[in-house]
Amino acid sequence: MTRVSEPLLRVENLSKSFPVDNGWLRKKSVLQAVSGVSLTIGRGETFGLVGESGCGKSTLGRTILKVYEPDGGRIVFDGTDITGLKPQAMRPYRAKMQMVFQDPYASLNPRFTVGELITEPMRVHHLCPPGEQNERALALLDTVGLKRDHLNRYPHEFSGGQRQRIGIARALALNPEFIVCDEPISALDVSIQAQIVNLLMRIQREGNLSYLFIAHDLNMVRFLSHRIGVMYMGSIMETGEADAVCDQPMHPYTQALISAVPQMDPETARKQRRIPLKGEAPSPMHLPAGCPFAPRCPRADGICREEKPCLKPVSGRLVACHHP
Amino acid sequence: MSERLLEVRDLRVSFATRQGTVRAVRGVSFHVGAGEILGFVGESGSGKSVSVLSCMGLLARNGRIDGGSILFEGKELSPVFLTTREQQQQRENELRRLRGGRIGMIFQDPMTYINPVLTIGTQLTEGMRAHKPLSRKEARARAVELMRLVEIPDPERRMRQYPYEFSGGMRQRILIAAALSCDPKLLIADEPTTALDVTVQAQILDLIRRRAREAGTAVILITHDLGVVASLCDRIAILYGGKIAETGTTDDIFYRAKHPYTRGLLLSVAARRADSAGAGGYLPSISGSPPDLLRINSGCPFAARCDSAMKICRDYMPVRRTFGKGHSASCWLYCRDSAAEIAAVQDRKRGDARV
Amino acid sequence: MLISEEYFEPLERGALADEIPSPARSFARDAWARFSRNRLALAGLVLLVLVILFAVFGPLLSPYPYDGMDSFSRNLPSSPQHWFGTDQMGRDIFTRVLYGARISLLIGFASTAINLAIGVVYGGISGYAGGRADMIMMRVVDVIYAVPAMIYMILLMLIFGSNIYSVMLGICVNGWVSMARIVRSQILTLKEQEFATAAWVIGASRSRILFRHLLLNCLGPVTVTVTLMIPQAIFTEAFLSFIGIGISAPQASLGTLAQDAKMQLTFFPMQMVWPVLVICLVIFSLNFISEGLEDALNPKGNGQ
Repeated sequence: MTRVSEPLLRVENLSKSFPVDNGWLRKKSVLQAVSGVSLTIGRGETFGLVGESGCGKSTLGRTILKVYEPDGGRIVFDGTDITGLKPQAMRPYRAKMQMVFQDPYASLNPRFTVGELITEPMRVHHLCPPGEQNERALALLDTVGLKRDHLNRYPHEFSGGQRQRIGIARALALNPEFIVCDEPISALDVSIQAQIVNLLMRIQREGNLSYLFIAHDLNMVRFLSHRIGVMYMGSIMETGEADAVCDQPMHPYTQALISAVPQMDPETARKQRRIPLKGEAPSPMHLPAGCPFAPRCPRADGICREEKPCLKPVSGRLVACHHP
Repeated sequence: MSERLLEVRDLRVSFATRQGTVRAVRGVSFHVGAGEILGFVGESGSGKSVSVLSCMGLLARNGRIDGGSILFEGKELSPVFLTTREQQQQRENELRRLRGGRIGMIFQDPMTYINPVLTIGTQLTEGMRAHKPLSRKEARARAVELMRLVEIPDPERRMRQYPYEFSGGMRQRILIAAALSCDPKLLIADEPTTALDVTVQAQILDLIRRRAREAGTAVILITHDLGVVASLCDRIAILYGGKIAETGTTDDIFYRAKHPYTRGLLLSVAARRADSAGAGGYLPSISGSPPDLLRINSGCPFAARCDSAMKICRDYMPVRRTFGKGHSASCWLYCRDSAAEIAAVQDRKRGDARV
Repeated sequence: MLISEEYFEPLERGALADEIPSPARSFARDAWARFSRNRLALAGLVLLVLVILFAVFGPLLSPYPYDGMDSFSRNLPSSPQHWFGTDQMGRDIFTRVLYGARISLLIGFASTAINLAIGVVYGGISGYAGGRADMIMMRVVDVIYAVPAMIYMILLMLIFGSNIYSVMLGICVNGWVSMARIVRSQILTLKEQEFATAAWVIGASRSRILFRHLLLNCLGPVTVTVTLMIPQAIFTEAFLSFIGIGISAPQASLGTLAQDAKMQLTFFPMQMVWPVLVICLVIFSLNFISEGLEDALNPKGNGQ
């Protein structure tokens, strides 16, 4: 790593599984959502996390914020190990680690006004005296591009893009240093997506924020990330500088994923050669013993089915593959 | 015009809601011929789904077709010319026969259209036997063949399984198999890949493309994703605020776009392909939000968000201008010279409406 | 019609601004607008308010005390002096009906308030805690619910005597259970919503999430349940009094009035009609209100 000596966030070998109840008297099985993920995010850096639905990218983001208690591994934020912190001890860190949600409808309490939504974090953390909270909320509305007289409105009166702005204002209320953006644009209209992305980038520059940007839109992730990680079945398969990974993918899964991204240009689209993936993704309840991608991988051989590859440096990035 | 399988002219659809009448579709015309793939692109509330689904008689109960003509294989399907109850009933029956028969449909969420408690085989064969005089055995054989066609491995065993045993991509393929079961002339796909991952999306789009090319099925693809239409469609209609902003061949739209909305949309998505900005620039974006159909003004629906908007855009609706075979856009930038006549016509119409 | 050159000048930004059209309307005002559109519900509300006003202030205006007997004017029919006539003890029935309505409504509202408080807190905690705590709390509820309400009531009457308080207590012993179940099931779905996660991420405590975020969103179903619980309580009280184990004389509820009139039903049927009529009015109006509220508090319902 050439970038930053002391990263803001360091995640080491993080795992999270969920018990799945198969019904009365039946054996409970385990859904392994995140298995042994390590990553670092520097100050002012955007780490893009891509992967298909069910690959565990959302769970990873939420486990880092300790919405879910991790099963194993460590989360080090700003030099402090926050893995085992109890909710009360976690509170000062909550203020520094925030989240923007995918669904701008479900993530805003419908019975709160915009003002109440934005000042709620300040009230919880006694951030500023009650008299100044409204003033601060108005300033935040300016920052995210909403009007001041929107303060007393209810979320259902807003369009999806405007609601997402409210969600961003709420996340900013505590002056965080790190924000997990969990698919913040995938529920929005195409013309609105760019607005929200621009807003997020502007805020980042103004406040030197770090983002973990989770999305399945590879183009968008590439555009706004410094580094990206490609996730498959709970593991990071490849991670490195955004352009390098997108232009010369090394891992067979990344290659297939990138080859399938729809091209915006009809000429290129007609010439596009996709690398087909055979079969279906395995169930996260019965992960293969070796490489999770082995059953669908054209390069898979004996060792891939027996031993799970770890991230190894290959031409300036990390790839989890026995045959990169 | 025999090559036009479905021809819709000046379609108008409105919904009665508690807040007032929503004019979701305000004069949309399009046509599609055999083997052709037409893309309907628009944002939420643009009227892209309503325009197509209303033609097939799929409207919510509070919706109604206010005007326009819908010709499918030369037969009028629009209810506006019908007066008696029997005629209305007849049209309903006719449409029911067409849907799942000569017109196949695929939707975004397959589970809405698949019954979770029946096996896949039962559902496929029942659909077929409702439309065609097939024996149980023939229907089963055909179902297996269809499942092979949509690339579901081991179809004989899969036939006996229940929907929950299939992944999202598989279910969507089964829905396609069901839609294709009666050899439809027209396939309507409403956001067929929105809920799917890119790798699966590519497979589904391939299936649709092959069907159009090999069996000559006409396809209408409704989507918000420009990437999907770029690779798949022959012609594209861009909808905004219940009207067609621009329509033309895929190359017209992507390389010679005329309407500011189309241009803005393309610019904002195309820029994403650029190298990682990281600390670099911003995305070009369209400001504002999609229009509220309850309070749409008399002018161009895009005026409020348009960088090239003029004062006239606020008050009068531009007319369609053609730029070559099949390529047309509705924008004041291109019909400035006949502004006086256009405005006069619209003033007269408004006056009539007031009286 | 002339189109001047001016028409082709650029449109100023903000001339067609991205505005929210409707005036800012709070949730309560929105709900009231929907409620008042339901005529039956509105009529129910007016009726209920009238009955409450009469029950509260009526006895003060009446010249007769509720327990004042007059042996010279027994079993009189309706007259300008005695609007509803008098009973076999010569008491003014109009006064007694108003007084009885006061007691019945008091029992209805008070016991429902208690049920509401216990049910919301218990159900809320059970649903939000989930897992083992939820399992145990719900089994306790099942046990309470498994014993017929009538047994509790009769036992309570035996221990504490027949008065308003034991009737209320009897209604509340298992009345809160249905409220707790409704709140629990609501909380179970609400706590999975992203706004609950959002509250957790900003560092809100569990009790803050439960009481400020989740319970606020149960308002609709809870209000509807309340409007159904009140008539149920009134009815239970009337039934208890009618079979003779409710409130004892000289206090009167609508149920005891009906019970008193029962003896002379064949000779003076009108004595029975008045209290029963008021019970019906109250119960009908509450049912209509409940129906109206159900629609009014569900913002997703779009009337067509």
